[in-house]
Amino acid sequence: MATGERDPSTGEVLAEIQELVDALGITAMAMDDAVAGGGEPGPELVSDCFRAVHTFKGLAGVIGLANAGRMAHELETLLDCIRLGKVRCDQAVSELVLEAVERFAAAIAEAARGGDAPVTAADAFAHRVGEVLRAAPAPAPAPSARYDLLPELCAALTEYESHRLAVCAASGRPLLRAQVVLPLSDLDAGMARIQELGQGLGEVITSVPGDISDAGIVLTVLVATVASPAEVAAVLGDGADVKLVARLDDATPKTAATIEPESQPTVAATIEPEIQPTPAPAAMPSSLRSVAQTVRVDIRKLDALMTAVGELGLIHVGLAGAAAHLGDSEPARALRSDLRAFERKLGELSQGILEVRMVPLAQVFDKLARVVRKLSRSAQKKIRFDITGGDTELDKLIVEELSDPLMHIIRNAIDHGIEDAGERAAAGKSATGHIAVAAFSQGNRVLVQITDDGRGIDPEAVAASATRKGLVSPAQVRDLSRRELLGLLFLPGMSTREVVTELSGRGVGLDVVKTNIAKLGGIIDVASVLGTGTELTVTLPVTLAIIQAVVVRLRGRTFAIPVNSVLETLAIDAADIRHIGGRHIARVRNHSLRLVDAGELLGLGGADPGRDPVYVVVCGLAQHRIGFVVDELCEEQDIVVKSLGRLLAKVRGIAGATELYGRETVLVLDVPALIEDATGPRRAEVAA
Amino acid sequence: MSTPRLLLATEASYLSHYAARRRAGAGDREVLTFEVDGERFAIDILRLREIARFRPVTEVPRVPAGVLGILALRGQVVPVLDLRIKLGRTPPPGGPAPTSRILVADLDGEPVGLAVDRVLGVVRLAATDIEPKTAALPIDLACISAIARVGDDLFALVDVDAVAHLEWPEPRLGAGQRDDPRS
Repeated sequence: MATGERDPSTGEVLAEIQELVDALGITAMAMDDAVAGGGEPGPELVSDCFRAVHTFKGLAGVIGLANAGRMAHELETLLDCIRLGKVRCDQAVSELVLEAVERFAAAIAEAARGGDAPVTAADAFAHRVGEVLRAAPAPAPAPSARYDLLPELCAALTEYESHRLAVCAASGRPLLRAQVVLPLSDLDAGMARIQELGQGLGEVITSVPGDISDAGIVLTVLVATVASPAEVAAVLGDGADVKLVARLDDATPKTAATIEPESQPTVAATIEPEIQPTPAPAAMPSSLRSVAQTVRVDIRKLDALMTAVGELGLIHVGLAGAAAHLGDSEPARALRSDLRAFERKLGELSQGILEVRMVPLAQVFDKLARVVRKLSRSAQKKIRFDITGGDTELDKLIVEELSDPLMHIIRNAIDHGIEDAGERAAAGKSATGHIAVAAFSQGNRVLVQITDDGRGIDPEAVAASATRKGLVSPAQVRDLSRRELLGLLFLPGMSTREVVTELSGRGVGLDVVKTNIAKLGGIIDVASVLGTGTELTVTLPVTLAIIQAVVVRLRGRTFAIPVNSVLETLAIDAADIRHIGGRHIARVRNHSLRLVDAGELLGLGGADPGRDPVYVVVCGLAQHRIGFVVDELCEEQDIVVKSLGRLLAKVRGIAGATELYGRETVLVLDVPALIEDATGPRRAEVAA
Repeated sequence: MSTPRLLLATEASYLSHYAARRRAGAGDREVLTFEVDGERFAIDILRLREIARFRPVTEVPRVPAGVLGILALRGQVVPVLDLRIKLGRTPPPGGPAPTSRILVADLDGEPVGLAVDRVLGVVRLAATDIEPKTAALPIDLACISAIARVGDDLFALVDVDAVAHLEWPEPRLGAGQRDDPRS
């Protein structure tokens, strides 16, 4: 993740630009939806888009992205024309905006490596914008209606506000003029109420500040709405004076900014209204105030804090251990009482840091929506894309790392899962394909499901292909359930083009997807009904930082097993274990459970055959359930998992190390990898 | 009154230090010498982060030969390599001696520990003291970069990067690609 030596402020700007582009992507899609629906995007959308592009231009200039900045400048010009009604927003325009989002994102990726968008891209983009501007449909005819407003007020309006006023007048919407006095101590709340007007009742054209007195500042707000003055007054709160502005229906005005006098005196100073129509969490900060209330923090700093808290916890364990031996004197009791208070506060601290690291999955889902839009166009397939559970929160690091695997899965679904229109019609399906992404929490895990209603995957075809390639033996295939057969798709050998065509579908690089998800401590599962569709389920831990672990002993050594993959721990009578086909199977509550000796699996030597009862840690992720037999079960502990470092990154089955009780360094088992080792088909078995 | 004297003293020490440096010449470097299985080796001191007393390591299963295990040093996980194995010797029969040390070297920004039997001291080497390994020398190990001769003493210079090269088995099928996420 490190990008070498670079001005640290550049990193901050890049992070800010990234957020901006993400937000712009959402706005661009909303604009595109409006155009696709045969209409025009609303003024708030266009304004949002305009502001985002304008800010992007500024930030790109700050970090020297000249070419990306030039593209933003061209786009800004185009959006300004749309905003002022000089150009109509049609399909060509909305596609150009979507394209710009992609180009900006690419430029940011370049910038992280010290580059910029290629100059040719900027030239090409400028040329396209020029074409759109020239070919733009004639703007709507100049409005011929106006409102009865004071000239001073009219003079205070920006060109854009005048334009909006004229459009509202032309469309016959009533205009209300509200005067409110906002106490300076509570300006935010007042401004929020004005924003609220724009979100629910109508369009806030402007809010012009006037005299400042002891009571506060006088604001004149113009709202185009069909709501009654009383309704508007109710939103704005006590003391709001709301009046209907008379319309002057004059057939002869020449310009869009024809606004006539109003009968009351007022003031002439403009402020840009800061209105945020979409309260989405990813929305760009639209006022200085909101920027001031959030801080951007390098995730590595949070990691360092988390490590420090983890180590404080270890020190606490040591202190508590020592305090327990101090006997029953008054000072010893006081010390133990303080230590308990210390532990509670430490818990709050670590919880707080964990929460800071959490971000909503919407960050990555919105990117997916853009990909679907782009790919479905290039693949010429109509696709409806549904997102649910975007507000589910996960560790920032996991969300970041999830983006590529999910992108890959979606790409597969569009390219290979969803059939073309003809095939869908023949199968009696609607012409529009459907892809859905859903996220939900389940205990301390988060499930992300990606479903499509495409052609599905034939497990027999997968098995045949895997057998032909020598990845599994025919005998192994006979033992596998339908679900396990589909699991063969994740074998590295299956990730070739050839298999893809054979299966008329999935398979491209799913092993890489699986590996990336496994790195996050997650697991991926596939279910499919031939002809009906496919469902991929990704199960992830909520966080990577502090985790709970079960401490176990194997051949005299201590290991920790993360509880997020532990279903339960059991003590089973040795008599209840059967040997079936070389496997150890225990009967637990009327279900059979396969047992695997964890020590043997790790190559620590044979087990003591006389163990009774047999201690078992039942691990499960998705539908795989396996009982790992351990020599001893100890207690549960909060641990901070540390990486083994680059040198030992390839050790399979070990997720990292942790310090237990402040003294002992203990290895943390990588349960998904061990489950795979215990259950997955292996070349060695095939060759035998 | 004391200020001029202090100034003179500082100047003198600076000059003597400067002269020593000039005598040392450009090709000079300092190495830490140590003993493994009765033989003398040396390591470039610029690659060393610290020298730690030997303590029990946590063994790691499924690692290539030469990896002793891991150690936590001030909150950081340090993999420890056994120089005896890496240099083709047999492990000591009675476990590590009380004089055993772990040399913590820098490997592309991450620590790596090298277990040695005994640390001898720091030796300054001139360029002329260093001979490349040749067929005439009884050393054909990849982990040795050169031979240093100081007076009657011979030291084999240990190449940290070569020592840290581990022979991993081919990844098993179904194991996915477990490559270094940062590479």
